[in-house]
Amino acid sequence: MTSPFDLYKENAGAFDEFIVNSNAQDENWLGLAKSIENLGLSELKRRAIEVEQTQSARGITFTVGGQERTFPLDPLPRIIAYDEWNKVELGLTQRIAALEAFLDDIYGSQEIVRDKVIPKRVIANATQFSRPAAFPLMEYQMRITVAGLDLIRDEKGELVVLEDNLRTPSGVSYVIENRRAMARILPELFENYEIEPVTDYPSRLLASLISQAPSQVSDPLVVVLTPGIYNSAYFEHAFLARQMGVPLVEPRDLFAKGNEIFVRTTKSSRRVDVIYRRIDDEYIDPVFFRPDSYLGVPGLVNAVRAGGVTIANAVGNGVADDKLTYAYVDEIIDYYLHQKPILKNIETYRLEDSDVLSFVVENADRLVIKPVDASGGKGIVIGSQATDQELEEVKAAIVANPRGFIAQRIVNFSTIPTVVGNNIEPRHADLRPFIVSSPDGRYVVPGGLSRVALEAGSMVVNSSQGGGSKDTWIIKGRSRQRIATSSQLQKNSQSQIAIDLAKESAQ
Amino acid sequence: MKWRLEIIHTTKYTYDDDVFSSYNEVRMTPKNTSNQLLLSSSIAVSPRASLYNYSDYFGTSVTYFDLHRRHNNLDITSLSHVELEDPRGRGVRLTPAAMIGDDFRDAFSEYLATTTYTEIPKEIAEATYDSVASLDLIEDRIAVVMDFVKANLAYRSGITKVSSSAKEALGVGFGVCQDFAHVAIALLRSIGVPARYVSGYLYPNTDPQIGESSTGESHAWVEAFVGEWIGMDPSNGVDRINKLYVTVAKGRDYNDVTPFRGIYFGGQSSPPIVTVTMTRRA
Repeated sequence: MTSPFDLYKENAGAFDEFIVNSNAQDENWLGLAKSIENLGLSELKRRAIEVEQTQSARGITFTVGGQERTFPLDPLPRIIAYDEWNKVELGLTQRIAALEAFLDDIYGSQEIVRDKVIPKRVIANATQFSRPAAFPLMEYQMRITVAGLDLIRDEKGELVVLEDNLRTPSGVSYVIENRRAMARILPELFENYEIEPVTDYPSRLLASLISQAPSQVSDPLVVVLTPGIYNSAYFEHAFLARQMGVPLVEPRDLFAKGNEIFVRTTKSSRRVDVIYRRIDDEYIDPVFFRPDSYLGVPGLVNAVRAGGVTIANAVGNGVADDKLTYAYVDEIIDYYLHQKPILKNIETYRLEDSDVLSFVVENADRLVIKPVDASGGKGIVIGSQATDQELEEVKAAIVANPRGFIAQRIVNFSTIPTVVGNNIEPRHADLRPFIVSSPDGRYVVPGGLSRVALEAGSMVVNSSQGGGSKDTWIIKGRSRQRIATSSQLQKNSQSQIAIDLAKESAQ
Repeated sequence: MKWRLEIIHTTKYTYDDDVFSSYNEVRMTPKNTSNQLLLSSSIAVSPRASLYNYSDYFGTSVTYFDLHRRHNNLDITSLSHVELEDPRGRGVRLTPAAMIGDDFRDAFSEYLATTTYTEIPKEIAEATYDSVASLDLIEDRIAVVMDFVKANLAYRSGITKVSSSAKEALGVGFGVCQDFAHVAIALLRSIGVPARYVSGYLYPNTDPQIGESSTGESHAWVEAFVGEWIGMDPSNGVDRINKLYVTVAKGRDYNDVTPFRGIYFGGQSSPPIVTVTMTRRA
């Protein structure tokens, strides 16, 4: 029998996670390939289609341009080794701890500016620097309750940070739903592998939100605030509310009175203690931000300021997502934690230096240019793929407004085997891990959302631009029932077991 | 010589139909500054509401309240007593050359950046820059800016709106104190001088007797950084403000100092009736 992996060939120059790991005799990847061979690609696809149909029947969708779509799940999981993940996890918690301290500082005394670690203008001229949010939080509150960072694996195979999303990152519902779907698509593998669970997420989030309730409250009321059914992530808002067992509310259900927030109920109203909000800052409180916003809750920001309610995430986090701030994250980690960054950034050009600016203008065709304050891939120009006209336009734009953009080298990020038609082909994928912070500590979802560019060679993974997703497996320890792939592998495994046993007895 | 002023600032809104609820922020409490001491202040609101005070990013005292009973008028009264003297300053002056360094421009980036209100046509910014380039004293450069404002903007109300930018005011050639301040700020920033917007009150009576009341006005003027912050009033062609000026708030532009802002649900409002009564008390 031929394996569908027999014809699998990596793209030149990119790090392929299957090829590299199977060449290294990684038993998890080899075991996966073996299982797919045994199952047959057509059976795998049949199962995947069946699961996708139930997903869309259950409403697991997102909305693009007013149309509901499912987020296609590729039935081949991505495997990340436990040891590597441990390091990533440390890197993520380190980064979030530093960014939390950074936000506290810049919305307070701005010591990092006074000490000239970051120029004042980087903060003062950031479009997302929110002066109405410049007040200290209570000690039981976090600024970054939920973070969703975007990582990519570079040409050398190292996971590096592409961007920080500390506002209202979405996608965690797909992580949980993808895991459930995979358990039905490949039940065989779930018997063999000890995959780190992701289903703890809602209870971890709820625990964090409860711990941030105003302190005098004994039985806090937590709500999830959604802009409504037309929001692209409405499914996730409803999903998280249901999973946490808390009300899902829209702005019109809430009102502020005397610096407290209440939810209207059929009979009367109830005080709300913690709001997990999925509405952008810009729309959250028309007293401060857009007065034309019908999505907001007027009075909310002052209720937070007065300590009457907690909102997660806090207002103003966008300044840390600014891609020029990103270029200073190494300095931020050093300044607040006195540590070396565990996770690397992609080399980033700060265009305010006129020499750097002219270098970037000259080399725009070899770089990627990004607006500092956009998300979801909007406004990004990949030099190598842009038309002459697009290049000229972006050059003019960065010269006119150097603070508005950054440039980075184009990373040919890693590919993973993906089912395409009747074949398995390499496709570029990123990884969005989720981190929940509470006053007591941080929790990182093992793995996260792997987003795949479904077109050959494409590096655009955004769900809004036709990407798909993959379940991401962090595989702990040994598989319970070993899948023999080669005698070499067995030998390795046995010696590994011996080492593990030695470690166990040492503890 | 110091004097004490009492300021009563009332704002009355009348609605053509009931208002169900409203959420409001008031910036009407004078600041403490090097030449101004706030002796007492209070804000009263009718219908009655519980008031919440905080100090905002720019250090302005803000009073917030929300109303949830039906009402068809809203009165806000700010009563304050301040002790004033003419700003003395230390006379510190930087050379224009000292103001182009990266450290300087970074430290004052907040007051050098263009905001929506302080945008002006690029040609005007460049021409102003060129016309001051040969002047060695920062005050001479500022004088050029003040002359430009005088020559290109005439005081007339009812032409610009509260939302008008410096560019729009220059376009029509008329404006009120807010527009004069925005235009002056835009020009100062374009020649590399950090500038900020000041809101407050102007006492119209240059030689007031104790106990004498006058009708004052809400006013806006400008501060420029020349080694220290100095205040000037472009709408009245005043080079240096004095103890007739009562400072309430400072910011990058009008948006940072808006005396009254908020949203309400219900009937249409007629334009508010605003009165400012200023009395010398000592």
